[in-house]
Amino acid sequence: MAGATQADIAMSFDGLTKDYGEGHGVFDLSLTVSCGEIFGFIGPNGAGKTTAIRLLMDLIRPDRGSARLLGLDSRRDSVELKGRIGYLPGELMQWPKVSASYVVGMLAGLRGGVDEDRIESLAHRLQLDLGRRYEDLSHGNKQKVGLLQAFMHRPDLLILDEPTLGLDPLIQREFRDLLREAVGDGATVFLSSHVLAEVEVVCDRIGLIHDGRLRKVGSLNELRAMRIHRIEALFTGELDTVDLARLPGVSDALVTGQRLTCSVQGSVAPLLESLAAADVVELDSHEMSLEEVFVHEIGSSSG
Amino acid sequence: MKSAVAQANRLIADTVLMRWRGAVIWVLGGSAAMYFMALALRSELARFEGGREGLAASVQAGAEAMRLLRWPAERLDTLGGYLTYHNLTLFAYFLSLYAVVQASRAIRGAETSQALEPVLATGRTRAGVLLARATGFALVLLAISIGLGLGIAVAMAAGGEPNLAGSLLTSLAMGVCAFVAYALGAAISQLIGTARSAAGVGAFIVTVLYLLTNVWDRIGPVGVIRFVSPFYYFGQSRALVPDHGFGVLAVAVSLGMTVALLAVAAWAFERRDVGAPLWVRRARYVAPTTRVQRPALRALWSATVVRERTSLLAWCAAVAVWMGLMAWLEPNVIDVWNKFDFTRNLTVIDPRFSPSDHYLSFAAEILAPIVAALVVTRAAGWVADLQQGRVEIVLSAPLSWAGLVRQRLAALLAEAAVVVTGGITGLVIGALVVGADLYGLGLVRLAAMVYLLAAGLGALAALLVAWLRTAVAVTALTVCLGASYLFVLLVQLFGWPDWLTRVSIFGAVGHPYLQGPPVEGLVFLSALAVVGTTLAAVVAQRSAKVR
Repeated sequence: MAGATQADIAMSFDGLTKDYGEGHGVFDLSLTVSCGEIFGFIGPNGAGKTTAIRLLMDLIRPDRGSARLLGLDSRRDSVELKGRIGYLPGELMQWPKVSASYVVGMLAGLRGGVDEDRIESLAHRLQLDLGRRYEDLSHGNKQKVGLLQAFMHRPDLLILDEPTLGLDPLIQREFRDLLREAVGDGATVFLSSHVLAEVEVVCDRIGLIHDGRLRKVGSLNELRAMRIHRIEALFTGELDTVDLARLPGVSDALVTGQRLTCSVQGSVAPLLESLAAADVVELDSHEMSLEEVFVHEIGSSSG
Repeated sequence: MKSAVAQANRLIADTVLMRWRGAVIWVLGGSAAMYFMALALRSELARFEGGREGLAASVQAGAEAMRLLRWPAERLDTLGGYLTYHNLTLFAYFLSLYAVVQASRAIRGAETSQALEPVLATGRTRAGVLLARATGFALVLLAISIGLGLGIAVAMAAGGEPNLAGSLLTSLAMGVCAFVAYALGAAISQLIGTARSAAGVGAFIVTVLYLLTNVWDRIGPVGVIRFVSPFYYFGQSRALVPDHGFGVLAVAVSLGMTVALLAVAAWAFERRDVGAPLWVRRARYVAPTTRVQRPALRALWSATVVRERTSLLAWCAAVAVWMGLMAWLEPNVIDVWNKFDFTRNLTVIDPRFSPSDHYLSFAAEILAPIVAALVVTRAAGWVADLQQGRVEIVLSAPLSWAGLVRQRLAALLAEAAVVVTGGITGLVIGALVVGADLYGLGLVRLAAMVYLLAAGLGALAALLVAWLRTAVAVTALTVCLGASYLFVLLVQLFGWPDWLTRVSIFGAVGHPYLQGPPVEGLVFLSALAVVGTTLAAVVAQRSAKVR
């Protein structure tokens, strides 16, 4: 983020903290997100993702720290800000007996100036029947109503809490298209998820939150450098595990007979040189997913 | 087996815990009403021209005229007879309404909130859940019966006719009557689409049964309906009325009806889908909705009125019918009202007006507590919105907390306007039917003052909800308003100094049908509306969380 000017920054948090006690809440979140970026906020259940998002939306108030969104203060200018934000809550609760069209119509009315054709187009793309009673909709269809109301006013900033929860693969693809279109129109996206594979597909940068603290932030490429290869090799020569352990990036080395298993973070070249010297006859490598990497990271930082 | 019993006990305990506050309110409110009624009647019995017999003869004519509302009326020359006729019959009706609504919510409401599915997933049978809920509510009714029975006993003692056994037995019969209504609600709710609709249909059926039972010997063959009415069997247990006793057989029949209805409910529950009634209409093709933005949805207040239109129309119709009935009864009851000290104390504002004017003023000013009840129900809705996460989505639109408070109050005022208009229309129609004269200016003053009361109470409710954020806010408001209304009645009833009414929020309304509104009342209600709204907005805005 070095070199980004104020005008380029869509979101910045400075020491944002909400302490519920007993280690619950979020603590000292500091982060900047550039305009036009899709930022993925990743963490396991209960990590603090929703708390952070509700702080940004001024639905809960921080104990300390502040956040600026689109150049405005998230608390002082919250009403003005919300006019420019598309928000998807974790669960879109509604009144009994109302139809989906009532929900969308009321929220469009509260915003004002929403293009009816845009609503119709989004309903069509998300394959959503707005005439049905909201409480009768499946979880996935309720999620579509949530997405529709978040995208309908072409917001400058999208804040989405677990946006693909309950969506089938086809609608997930449509959702990704909507995200790309929004970003193409200049919007910034901040989305949370606990499924790393999902954010890998759409996000430019990813932040990992665990126990309410931001553990790691990086671009997809930077995070990919963290990726770990799991190696299995059969060799006929001699292989010294002590030498192996000294190789940069190699861990968990285990030699059983003529079979080696180990993990490699970063370049595999030094390991390949050693294996070549040991007359390797078979080599199998697979890359661990970001999810496995993050689980590994969380495990090592916790332990 | 042991585990099944433990699970059932937990559900029973859960039901009791959920309803104990309601039980306390029933006991305290009912006992207070009985006590003050007994004191008033003791005074009347002592001083009435012609003595006890004269009083009974005077009341009998009015009782016959108002038979649809309560019956039977026997031994009105005694406190026990009068309380049974005048208070306990109506009390049984209202307790039954409460029971039928609770039964609708017990299962169907839990389905709506998806609280039932995890319970069923633990391995409990549906019939077992229903039975546990019914048992829990039976315990609540038993507590109400015992508490209220003791309250009635105190009232009887204060009225000079101590009768502990009769009080407890009558109250127990009332609880049994309400339990039949509960079982009826449980059965009906299996057939209706939603808990709210089931509560409405159940309340309607209970009301029809109550009214028809009161006039069963005047409606020909239809009168046979009394045999399926819990109120008929309650009427057989009049242990407070001299020469009458406790109807053991009637209570046994009532309990038999309860068991049968609960069995029907359990049978239907076992056969239907969770979340759907027993018989579901097949889906019909409906053209997809594409245009969603309507003028009525452009503001939160109008969207709220649109959403609550069915409930609002029900309020409006009920208030219109009630006030119309009050006006329609004027020729029949005016003599009796004018003969009783306590009714005169309640109604006479200015001796220059006729008894008829005073009665119509009393009937018209019932609008004030009705609008207060409307405010309480809407405040309960605000708390539910907060706790169930609906406020969160509304506030994600460009709307501040202060804006939300203003929009809610605007919706409340729109709804109050509809209810006030409905009530006054009903009153006018009822008066026209019997040829009673109404003061046009008085009705305008009444509408204006009740509207101002709605604004003041709405602001107070908004402040309490913003501050307390839970059902405690609604309970506090209900208790405050109930006590406040009762206090004004007591001041009038016992001829206490007028200035005491200033303590009550209803005292601020004055008697606008007959007199100009009190200046201090106008100032107080206006200030309450303005200051309350401002404070509610400030407190809400400063709250650290949405829920």
